[in-house]
Amino acid sequence: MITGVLTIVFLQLCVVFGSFVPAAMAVSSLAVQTGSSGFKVRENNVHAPNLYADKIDFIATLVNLPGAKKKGSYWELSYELYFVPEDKYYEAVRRLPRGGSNPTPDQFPGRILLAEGHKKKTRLGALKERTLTLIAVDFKQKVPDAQRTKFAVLMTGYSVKIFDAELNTTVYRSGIFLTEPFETQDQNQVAARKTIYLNFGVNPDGTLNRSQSARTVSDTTWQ
Amino acid sequence: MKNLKLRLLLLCLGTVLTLGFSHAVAQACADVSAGGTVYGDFDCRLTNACGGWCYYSCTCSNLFPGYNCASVLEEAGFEIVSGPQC
Repeated sequence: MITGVLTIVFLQLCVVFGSFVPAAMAVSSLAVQTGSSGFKVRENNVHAPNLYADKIDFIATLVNLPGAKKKGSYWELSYELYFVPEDKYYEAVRRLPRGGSNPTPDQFPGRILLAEGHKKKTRLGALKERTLTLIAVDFKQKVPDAQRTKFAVLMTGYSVKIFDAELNTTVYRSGIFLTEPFETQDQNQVAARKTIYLNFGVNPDGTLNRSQSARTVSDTTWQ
Repeated sequence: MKNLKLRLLLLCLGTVLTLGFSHAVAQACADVSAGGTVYGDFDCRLTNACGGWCYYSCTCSNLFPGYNCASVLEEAGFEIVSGPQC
């Protein structure tokens, strides 16, 4: 009998205090968000032509390869750089399956091609030889002024094939990376993005790392 | 008896293959993760895949009043990262 009454009281207290939980959650999440830089809330279609660089560089790097100095190792890369207008991007995203997916550039109609190319490198001993650089790709002039909004998207489509002669392994991967036309600098200041990075690394177990994080040219550590 | 052993062997093989396949799938990072929760919509883009981890840059929209992007992403199963990636 007493147990039953206590249970009812406990449940009623849960209902009462439960009504305060959403506010508490919001406050605690805000505290976490302040300490990290992984996400933000987007304001739609903010015209921001000042965040578009006239020219943009593209640097693709095979950062690590266990058999880089071995004869027979090679790195083959096909790439495309696109601009995707903000409204077109979110239309395409709404058509994607909910959750994770690996879309191709073809799934983003309205995209504007900025650059494309294909390269196979067989000399990979030095980091310089494992780096592919495109300088001064036309960017701003290819984007109509009305579409120069803050949260439009720069898309890198890639297809990579790497053979490591030491591991005797071939790694394949194709996919996209997406980023904004601007980059965030110190103290949350934003500025026009000047460089698009595309980094790959083969681990000793033959798995592939990939990223579009900015990196210094001489750095061989993964970041 | 022989038939039972064969069945058990096939069952074990199937289990191993299933676990192996699901592990491989779980390791692959999606290039885009987008959707919605009760708190709002999210759009996350892969920025780094290394060491068995997938790192995303996310934006949110249509937030339910009183909630923020962290609420949306936590509800969607993301962990908040503040340290170095790999």
